[in-house]
Amino acid sequence: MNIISKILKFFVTVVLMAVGFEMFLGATEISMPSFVDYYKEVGRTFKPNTDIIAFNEGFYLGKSNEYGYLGPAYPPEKPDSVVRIVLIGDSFVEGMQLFERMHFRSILENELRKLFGDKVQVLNFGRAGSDLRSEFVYLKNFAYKFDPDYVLFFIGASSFYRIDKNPNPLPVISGDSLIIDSSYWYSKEMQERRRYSFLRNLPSFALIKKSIKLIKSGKVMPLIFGKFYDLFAGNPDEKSGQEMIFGEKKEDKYSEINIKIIEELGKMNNDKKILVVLRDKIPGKYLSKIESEGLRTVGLNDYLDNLKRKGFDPTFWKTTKTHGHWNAEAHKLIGNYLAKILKQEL
Amino acid sequence: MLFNSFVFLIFLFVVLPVFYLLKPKGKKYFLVVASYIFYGYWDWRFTLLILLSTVIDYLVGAKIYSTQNERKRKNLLLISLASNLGILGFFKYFNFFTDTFAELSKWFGYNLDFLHLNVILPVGISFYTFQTLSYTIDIYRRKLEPANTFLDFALFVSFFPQLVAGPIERAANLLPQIQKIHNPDKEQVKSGIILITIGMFKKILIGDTCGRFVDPIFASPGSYSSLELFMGLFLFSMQVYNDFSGYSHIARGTAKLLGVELMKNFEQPLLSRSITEVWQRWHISLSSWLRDYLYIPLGGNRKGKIRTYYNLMITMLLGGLWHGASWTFVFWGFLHGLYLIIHRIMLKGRKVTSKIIWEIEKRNLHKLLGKIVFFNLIWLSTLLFFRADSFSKAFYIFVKFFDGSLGDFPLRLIKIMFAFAFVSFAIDLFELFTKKHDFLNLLKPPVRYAIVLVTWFYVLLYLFQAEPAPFIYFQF
Repeated sequence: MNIISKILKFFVTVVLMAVGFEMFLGATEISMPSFVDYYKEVGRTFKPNTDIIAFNEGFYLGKSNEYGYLGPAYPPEKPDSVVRIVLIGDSFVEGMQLFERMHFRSILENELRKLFGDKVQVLNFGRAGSDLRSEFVYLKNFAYKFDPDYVLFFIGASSFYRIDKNPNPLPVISGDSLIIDSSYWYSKEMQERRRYSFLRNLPSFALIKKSIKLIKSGKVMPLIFGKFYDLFAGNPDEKSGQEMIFGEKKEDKYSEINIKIIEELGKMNNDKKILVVLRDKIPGKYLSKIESEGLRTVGLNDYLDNLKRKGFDPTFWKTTKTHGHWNAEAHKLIGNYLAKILKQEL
Repeated sequence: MLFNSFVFLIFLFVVLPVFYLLKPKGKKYFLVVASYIFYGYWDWRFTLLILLSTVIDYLVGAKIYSTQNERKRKNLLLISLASNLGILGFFKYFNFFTDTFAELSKWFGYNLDFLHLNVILPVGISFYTFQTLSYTIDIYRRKLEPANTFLDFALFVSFFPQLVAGPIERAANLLPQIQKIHNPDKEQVKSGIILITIGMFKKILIGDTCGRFVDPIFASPGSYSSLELFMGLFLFSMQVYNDFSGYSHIARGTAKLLGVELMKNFEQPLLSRSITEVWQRWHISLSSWLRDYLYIPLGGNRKGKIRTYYNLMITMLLGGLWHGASWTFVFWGFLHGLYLIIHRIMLKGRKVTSKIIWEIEKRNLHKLLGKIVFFNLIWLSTLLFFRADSFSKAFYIFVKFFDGSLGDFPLRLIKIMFAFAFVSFAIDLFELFTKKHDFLNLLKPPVRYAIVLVTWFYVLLYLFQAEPAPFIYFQF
């Protein structure tokens, strides 16, 4: 009886402590419940009205709005007088490294409002880890619901080389046209994600997930053995900022679909004005396709390269001494640069 | 080697069983080697400095003890002071003084930037320098007999649990324990494990996590609202306290596992009711060192009011400089000196006790809370200069506090501050009421084991997230 009582006390305390830790992690925002969810037509997107915090090369404290994207909550219905600009892209556009007010979206909107007043609205549909295929679907099935007048489609080499690993609806070629395949929704992976979605609401789950990821990536040994590991296994070459974010360069597996997507963007350009913002150098075949489809390009890469030549590194973060996404100063410059270009368009 | 790293945990798992198996003399040799490995993990060259300091102070200490001539004794003490403070001064303060001099010279049209040397600051140099200084000074004062052997003294200087961030032990407490080093008893093991567990929680899950908010806010204060800046400062208070007291817990716990009792370095300082009281509760080993080896030799409070205030100010200015080679640290010390003087004037001869439990029993809770809140605001005003890396930044933040901007998520920021403060103060209150740092030992074994187990689960989980953050006080 005594032993049973002891065992019982032990397990009750374990449960109470675990609950206490969950509350502590959540309240202090050391770790937060997942802020993403999955919707059949859109794939992975933000849960509406969800607090988000991110500590990476920078620091982000924000919230998704009631419509499930970042930034001010502009509803899908748009008054005629309003000019709406949507931003599509990956983590560089999502910008979860700095506060909303420092994001180039805010800078761009503020700059345009100085000229055109409150009728300008800029909406951020950036989503980390995406590739051209998933961004295209996100634009068509989600961002377009917000009736944009202009689309700034941010494209870089990673748009073609990276493969979005998240379960999303994806474009496929059917005959001569491009259709969106949502069959992923019925996949085993999605079923499991739905079944265990409650786990994503536990703050510690994010920590466990990150730990598992670390173990799988093979980075756990240097973390455990520190300098002794370097001594015996050697220190691997430092990776560039681009490699750290995107991983090693992948082969251009979806070339045919990507070309088709550009064609499709060309057609959509007749209805909504699409500007392709070149974030960095992209393969020549895609660039010529973009130009042949009559899509206007914005040479953000040239602008950033010019800054680099002048000694400013847009991806270096002084506080954490790391390379990564655009830093706060770069966001400011990019916001002003894009505002200058859009002032001519508007 | 950082306490909050896997490497240290592995190191401890290797060191402890070997230590338990060895005979007393073997234990000493082994601990000296282990301590040098622990210290050399940062940079092996640092071990040469500590060895030099050890040799000088051992020889000088023995010589002072055996010399009767007062003048010779004094000269020997001066050798010890000059060599220890010389090493510390060169590595820690050389660039500080030459940079200041070069800056002043620019006003007269001279460029003396070349005086800046590219020297690295050896980790924990201020701590072991003060510890070895106390050894020679105490022998000079005839309060202490020198170490029996060089081995004992080498272990006294390099004892790894407290080598890099204290507590700054006095030879009178640590040396006899080292000379008779033995395996820990059961109570020490129990207490040691609990102290390490609580220390890891404080350091990793409070200190380091607060630091993630603090660093970006202090790096570019212009980007943040008043409330966000206040959160940065408030969480820095939580960070620096939990970081350093967490370290001290781990140090004391580890020493206990080696059969050694180290002094308490913190006694719930953020529950202080005044600036005078906090110096009886915060970094006790440093404040008592400064009291015994600086304030009292300067005359303490024995030479009249004005001289007492002067002595207080000098002590706090040097205390500030001890923390870091920067004018902001000196100003931090100045503010503490100033507040201490003001408080002393207000006290009109009354004494300050650190028994706040007595006030709780009197049920003057609202008054007590008011005093603690007021103290914490004063404390924060000094910490601003402790954390900001320049005067311009500190003043910018201070002025911006008053613009009243709340940012986008005021309630969320308050919730975060409250959550950190709640847990930090809860630990302090447990310590206060139980009068024990290892208060978990008062619980029945199944409950205690469960708490320790779950805490370690989360500590290890967090250790997997990122590179371990260094302890703030290591830089001093």
